[in-house]
Amino acid sequence: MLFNSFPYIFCFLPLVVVLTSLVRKIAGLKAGPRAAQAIVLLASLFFYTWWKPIHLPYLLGSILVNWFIARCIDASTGRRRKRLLQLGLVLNIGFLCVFKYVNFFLGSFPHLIPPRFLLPDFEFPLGISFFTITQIMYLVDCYESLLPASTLFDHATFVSFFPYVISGPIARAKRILHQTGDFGGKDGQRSEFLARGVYLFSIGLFKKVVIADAFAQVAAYGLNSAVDLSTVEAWVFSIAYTLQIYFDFSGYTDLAIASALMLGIEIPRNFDAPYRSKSIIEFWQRWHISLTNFITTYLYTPILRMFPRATLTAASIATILAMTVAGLWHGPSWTFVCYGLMHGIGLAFNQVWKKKKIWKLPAALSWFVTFSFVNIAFIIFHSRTLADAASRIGRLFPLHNIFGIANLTAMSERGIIFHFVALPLLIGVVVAFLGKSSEELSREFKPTLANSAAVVALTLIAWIFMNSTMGTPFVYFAF
Amino acid sequence: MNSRRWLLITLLSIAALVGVNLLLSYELDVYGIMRDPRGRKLATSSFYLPMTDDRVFKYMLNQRYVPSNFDGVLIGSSSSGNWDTDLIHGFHIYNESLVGGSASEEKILVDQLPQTAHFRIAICALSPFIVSKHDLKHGLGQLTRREAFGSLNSFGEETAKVLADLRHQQNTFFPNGSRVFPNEGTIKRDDHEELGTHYFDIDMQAMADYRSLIRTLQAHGAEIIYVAPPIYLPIHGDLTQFDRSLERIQTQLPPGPLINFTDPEYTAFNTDSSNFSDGLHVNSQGATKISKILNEKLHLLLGGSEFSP
Repeated sequence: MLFNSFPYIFCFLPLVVVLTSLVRKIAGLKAGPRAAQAIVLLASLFFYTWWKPIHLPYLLGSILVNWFIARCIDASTGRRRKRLLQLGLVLNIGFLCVFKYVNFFLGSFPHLIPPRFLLPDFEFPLGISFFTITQIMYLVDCYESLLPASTLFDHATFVSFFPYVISGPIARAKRILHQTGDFGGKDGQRSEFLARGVYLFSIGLFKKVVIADAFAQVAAYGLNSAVDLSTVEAWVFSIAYTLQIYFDFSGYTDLAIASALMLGIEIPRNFDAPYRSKSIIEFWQRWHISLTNFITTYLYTPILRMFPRATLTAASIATILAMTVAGLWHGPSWTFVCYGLMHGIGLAFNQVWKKKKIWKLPAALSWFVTFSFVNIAFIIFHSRTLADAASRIGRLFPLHNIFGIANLTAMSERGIIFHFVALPLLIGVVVAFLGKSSEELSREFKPTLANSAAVVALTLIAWIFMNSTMGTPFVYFAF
Repeated sequence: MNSRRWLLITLLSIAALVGVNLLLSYELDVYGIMRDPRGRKLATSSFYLPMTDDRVFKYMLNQRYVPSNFDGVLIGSSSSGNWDTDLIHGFHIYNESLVGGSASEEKILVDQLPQTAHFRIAICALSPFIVSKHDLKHGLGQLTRREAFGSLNSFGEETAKVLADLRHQQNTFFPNGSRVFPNEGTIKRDDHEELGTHYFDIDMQAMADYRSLIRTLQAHGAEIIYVAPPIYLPIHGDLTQFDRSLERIQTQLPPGPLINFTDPEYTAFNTDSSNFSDGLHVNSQGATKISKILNEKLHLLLGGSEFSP
């Protein structure tokens, strides 16, 4: 059940919102919130099961094991506490590795495999990357005494919460668990949350099914049908993908945050107009913010602590290592490793540049360099192999055919750009580079007639696009 | 305005506008799937819609309109796209040919026919092109009936229908599925045409799909007649590769009579440049002629059988 599917929008979400709200009212002040939470837990498990029922035991197993370890950590002190944390980390990372990385590493070094050894064919459980990170953060936070171990009921609700269980945003327990009493609508603010949720949902839906899918048409044409790209075309098609992934993922995030808001829960924001960034550091403060927070707190800081002194060199090495691991987290492929490595090097370079105050670039040039860097990194991210990535990046440089537009013309002749899709592309470019982020819009939301008209228009246009044969799956579902 | 009131206004407005859209879709019913399509004449003037051309239209029409109004189909690619099936007397044949269409795409169209559909005849064009690849263009593999309830394509069709009704626009497709090619010219004798290195390759998936669609049509009661489309000889004079390809294709399909428009008896037609827009496509004039010849040949072929019109 996709967030942009009819069953989710017209059945599942309204039903859960109405049920939790009703149960909260009927069950009264004391039992109401817990009853609403129970509905949300059941709904989340149903939502997860909808995809592949066979994956549910993995999620439940992860919840049970981590809940138990957290309880043990909470009840112990000293070395035993540390050992329990280490056990928890090994189990979680091992769980992730078994499903995601064993085949990748064994397949990358075939000479290490005995001749008749068959690689196990594991299909990785949906959302494993996201909920495993959530569990790791939870265990570390318990170990650091940032929060007490929760009940199994709370822990299960927190981990399996349907707005983020599949593709994030990566939620930190201490941000969510204190809100469990708000399921079914925060008292006194129920309508406000619901209205803001509806508003943000319409924005997210429009971003995903209208803008992202329009860019997906162009990007897919560039990848699958275009031949012998000119320099201009290589930039156009790569930027189309860069915009597609932004609108796709940020649209998904808006839908997730909006769904949670409708249930009375605020989950962390994930994007803040990243393509307006003027440095790589700023980009990561605006792009996939919940992942950046995880990398900073749970990867970069521990790595840096391993150095005797926190020097600039140590910080740079820690950054590169942390980002490479984050790259690998996206999936078992050398292209993801390279994507992470490239951003790690970019961030380290940016840190050195900033600390040493080498030279302050003009704002427009900073933006251009940053966006070009991000765009090239996304080519690696999108490519199937490193050789493919190298070939596609090579096309960006004016080596042979610079201004050719044969592929763009052919694409137009196939009717991909004309008519209705041209406008979403134009809107997308304006919104990505000049517009406010959904977070800003949601924060500034007021129940006015103009906003009502905007929601109606966005929803109806999204409805038309949802009915049309141009939908693409969410990019981050692959992770 | 408070949030509660805002929510009420917003949700009711959405519901009302969706309702209006559904009513409009029902009233215009451009694909003939909401109301009884018997006796209606559905055609499209949309050629290049955002994501598709004739594919969505024929996909949707096969669900109710075609089985309700026709007792035969013509399967093919663009080389038979403009053949006028109204000139084939005694049958009501719907032209399922798609521009750039493969057997795999034609199979998807045929798969939309309801179990109860009954046909007397299916004319299947045998050109190397139709079995040379199996890719599905413009999202044909992901289509659903939701297209009919307010989509880019259905709005395009609805606009086209209104414009055609107001006589502001002419249909490029006719109610029998045949079409006119926009800006078609007439070929010149010294024109040159490259078919590409893989033109005569047979794609196994496309071939399997062609077999499967023919069996499906037979299950719907259709007598299968194969047709090899005409070829402009001054350009593609040496037919050795075409003949070899035709033979290979035919051996892999269920048996059936063949009307071969590349046979010597059609040399006069195949050397007359006024019949062709390029080496493999007849123009409007050629399409009319070839449809009439097909009519005669079919009657000769089926004259003595139970399919006699």
